[in-house]
Amino acid sequence: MIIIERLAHRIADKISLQLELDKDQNAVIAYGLIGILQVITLFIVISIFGHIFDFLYEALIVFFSVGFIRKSTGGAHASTMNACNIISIMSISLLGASARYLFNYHLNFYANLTITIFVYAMSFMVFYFRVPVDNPNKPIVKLEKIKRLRRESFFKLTLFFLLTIASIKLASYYEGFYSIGVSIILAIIWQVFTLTKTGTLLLDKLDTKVNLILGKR
Amino acid sequence: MKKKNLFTLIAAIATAFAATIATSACIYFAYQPEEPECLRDK
Repeated sequence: MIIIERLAHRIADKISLQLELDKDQNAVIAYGLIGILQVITLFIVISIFGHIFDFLYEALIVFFSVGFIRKSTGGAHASTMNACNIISIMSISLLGASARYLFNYHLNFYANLTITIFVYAMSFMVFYFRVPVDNPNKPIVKLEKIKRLRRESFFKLTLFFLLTIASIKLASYYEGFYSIGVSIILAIIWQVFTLTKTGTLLLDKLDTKVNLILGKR
Repeated sequence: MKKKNLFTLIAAIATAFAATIATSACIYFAYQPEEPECLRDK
């Protein structure tokens, strides 16, 4: 258990003691606090990296896009909070930097449109076969929930598709929109990748390596 | 009294956040802590 989890449990214990809450309520508060503290930590670290290396907007778009769609699709997970934070920071920074520096050469609208349609067609296909991807700590077994998550995932993917098209269209009026569109596409590619078996295997390997480097699991 | 209000506020926010995670496929990013028993099957 690392500092975020320890802190969340300590705060939950203190609150439960003061408000005379039972064990279940304590567990729910600790669970919620772990989520909140993790999002805040990642947001701060990514903002600092983005600010230093000048890809703040791109990194934040990737951060919010992946988080938003992941809540419905699920995906590969790290086994520890440490590994998760390091992999998340690395991947989001890399994607943000790529959107800002690597893919920031302007193609014409039709070339962009072709790439966008291809990426989203592939994404819809992967979504159709894989969503939702659960994990042992949060199994998804109820058919009703599976159907709802699938509906939400397709809705969100369609929303991102429209946002990407709007961004590449608006890029001809204001250049800044170009990297917004690229950031959304990269976020979708990354999220789709974590839904695949190859993505899960790669994340597992990264997870093992990071945990080995940190010296604990 | 003020301290108790603050604790109540934190507890409410944390519970609301936990409830949104419970109805989702997973927590916001790549680490999924074990879900409390009482939130399962939401």
